[in-house]
Amino acid sequence: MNTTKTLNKLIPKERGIVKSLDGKEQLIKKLLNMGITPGSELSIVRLAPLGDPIVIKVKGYLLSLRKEEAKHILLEN
Amino acid sequence: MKTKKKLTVALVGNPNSGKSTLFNNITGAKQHVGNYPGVTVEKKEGKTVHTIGDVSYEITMVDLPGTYSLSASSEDEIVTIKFILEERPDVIVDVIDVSNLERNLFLFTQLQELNLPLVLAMNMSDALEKKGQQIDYPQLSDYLGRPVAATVGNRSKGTDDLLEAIVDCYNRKIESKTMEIDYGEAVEEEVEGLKNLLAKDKKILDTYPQQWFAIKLLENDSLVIDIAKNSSLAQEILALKDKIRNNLKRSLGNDAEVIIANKRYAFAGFVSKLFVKENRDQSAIRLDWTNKIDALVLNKFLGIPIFAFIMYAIFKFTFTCSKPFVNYFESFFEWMSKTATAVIPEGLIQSFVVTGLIGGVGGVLSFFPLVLFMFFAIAFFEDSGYMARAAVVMDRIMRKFGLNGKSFLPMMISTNGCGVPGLMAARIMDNKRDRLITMMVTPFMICGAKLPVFALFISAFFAPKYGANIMLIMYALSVVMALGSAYLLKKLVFQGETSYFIMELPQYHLPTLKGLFLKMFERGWLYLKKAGTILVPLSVIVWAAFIFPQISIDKNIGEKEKASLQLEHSFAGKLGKIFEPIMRPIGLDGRSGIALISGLAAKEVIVSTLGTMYQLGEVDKEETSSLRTKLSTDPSWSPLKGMSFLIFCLIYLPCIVATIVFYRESGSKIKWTLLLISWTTVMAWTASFVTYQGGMLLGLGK
Repeated sequence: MNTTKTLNKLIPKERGIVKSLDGKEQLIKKLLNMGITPGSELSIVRLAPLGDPIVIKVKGYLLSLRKEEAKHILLEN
Repeated sequence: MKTKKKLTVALVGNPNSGKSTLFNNITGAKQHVGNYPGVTVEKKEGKTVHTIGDVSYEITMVDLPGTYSLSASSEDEIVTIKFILEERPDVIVDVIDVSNLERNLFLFTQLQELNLPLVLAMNMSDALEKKGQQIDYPQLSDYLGRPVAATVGNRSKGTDDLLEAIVDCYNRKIESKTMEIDYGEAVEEEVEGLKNLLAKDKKILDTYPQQWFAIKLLENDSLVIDIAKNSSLAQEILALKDKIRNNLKRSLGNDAEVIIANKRYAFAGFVSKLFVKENRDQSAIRLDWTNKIDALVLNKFLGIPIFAFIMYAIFKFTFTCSKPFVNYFESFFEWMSKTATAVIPEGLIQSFVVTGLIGGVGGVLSFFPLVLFMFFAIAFFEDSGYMARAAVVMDRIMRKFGLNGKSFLPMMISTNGCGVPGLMAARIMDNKRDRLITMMVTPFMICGAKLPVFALFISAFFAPKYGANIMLIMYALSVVMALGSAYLLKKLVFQGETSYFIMELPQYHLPTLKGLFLKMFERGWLYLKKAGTILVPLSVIVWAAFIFPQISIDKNIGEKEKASLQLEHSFAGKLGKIFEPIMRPIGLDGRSGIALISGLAAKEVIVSTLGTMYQLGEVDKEETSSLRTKLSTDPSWSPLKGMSFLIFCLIYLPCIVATIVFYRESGSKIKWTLLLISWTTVMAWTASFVTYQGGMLLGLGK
């Protein structure tokens, strides 16, 4: 069974390290530009009032993205 | 003997890096916003003079859109990269938020490959100090091989140092081979091969920096690929590029863009670790305000109520504070038409000045104070950092309809305000699909100009006790129409196009008054310029359509019959006749058609046109009530027909000013403008048809 951990599965205060990105080229490039590169450490800071999008901390700043996009961020186990 | 030198300086930097504040500090009020040819995003230009010894340097500052990277992935980035490549500014200033050094240096890694004189403005050092950190700027400058100036935009600190560094850099013409990013052996080797091939195309060799071009090509950057396609060696270059990408994927297990971005960020991370030092004296625990405020405004239970309260506060502030000014403007235009009526002898010229010019322009300009206050309030929440949070709060709801968390802002500005600044506010969306859908549905909101029309019809056909409820229904209907249309557009027109919501949440900070006022005036001026240039000729055209061709006047009939007869024979009247067959099924006649057409100039004109048609000439407060009586007692109208008219009025075409702004904001695309026109027309007719025919079936036709 495929047990790849993705960013959307983390809960607030949890941390993870980016393993790789998948999805469309446009999305990958956008994520790379925002500092979500393989090897970077991320943590979930909080969720939006309705549970989505999420707010994460990466490279020392706050970034908001939808769970749909977070699915494409694969984490080290 | 004094000498003068002219130079162009481009300001580049991440969004939220304080770039605009720095720009305002340097150029003061001497700036203007101009359309950059061919694209919709505006670049700002300003001038300043810096004198050193006998030489005075005339510096033209160009404030380019904030970007995170120099790839061709968004319109703002394309504007930036094209400006740098095509205009070749004498010096580039990279504005860096030092409290966020690592991510900000990512843009630097790309800028430095362009081989142009480059200065780093290390901004927001106060925020860094608050974090209990410090940077040794001279050491950092030595390491990067670029001049560095420390600035605090919010407190106007370091502006002179920055100008000094710019001029110094300009004079030394640093064509630096200062430092290069190490992309790793495998990549560097392949890049050499690619560079050798590129060097054979003299045009590419002469126009573009080789390292930058080769790296961008490997990243599959669409802008650079387009340039390569025009090369005489296009096939060879693209084939080699693909081969290298495959090689790298095989040997390093990743796409070239991932490898390259990784190396760039590795460099940025390395530099920031090396130079950002914890300041031991000040490492006392500081309050993390951003975290505290976010815990509140993004709270599961409080987030939405707080959002609603802030929106309400913006409305309340805008309407309450602008009211005296709007009244003042209105009385000013009233006074102007009275004076013009008194001074100019009766006839065509009087009618031209009073109805055509003052009536048309004044109706819209009276709104100007309201627009300014709205811009001020919005600038406050934008600059403070809350708007980004509001988008996070709203995204979940808006997304369902093919919109985006950021869509609420344009729609809100439109409601009771004006669609023109609303459409312009849609720029905050970097996603093309979401931005276009938002612009398509923004005109459905009930703008300030639709209010008098609604007031007239509701009071004419419905008992006073139902008035407020019907108004509420209309507001609800406008939201339903906007969201419903967005949903349909998403499914029908923009099917399959992806939408992203990836947005930085900046640190909160208190906006400066100067910054707020500059933003308010900048946008206000843009509004005035856009509205003004279109409005004057348009008001004249509408006026002419109602007044020409002139009929010979039979002295025996009264003034009012004469006006009615004139109307029937005018171009507008004839146009109304043509539309009569289309209006029938929705319960309306040619006269309503004329009124609706005149409403294209500005929606409130509908009321004055109906006034003219019901032989009333001028419409002021008292006469509105008699127009109301006329409408309610006219046997050709009925409450059901009134409702049908209202619904049509709610949904149909935005006024021409808004349509033209839509055209410009959509990137001057006829395609989208035609879609807007046909979409709103079809939706309006269909909704009115359902209302009228449905009402008839239910026996409400009486």
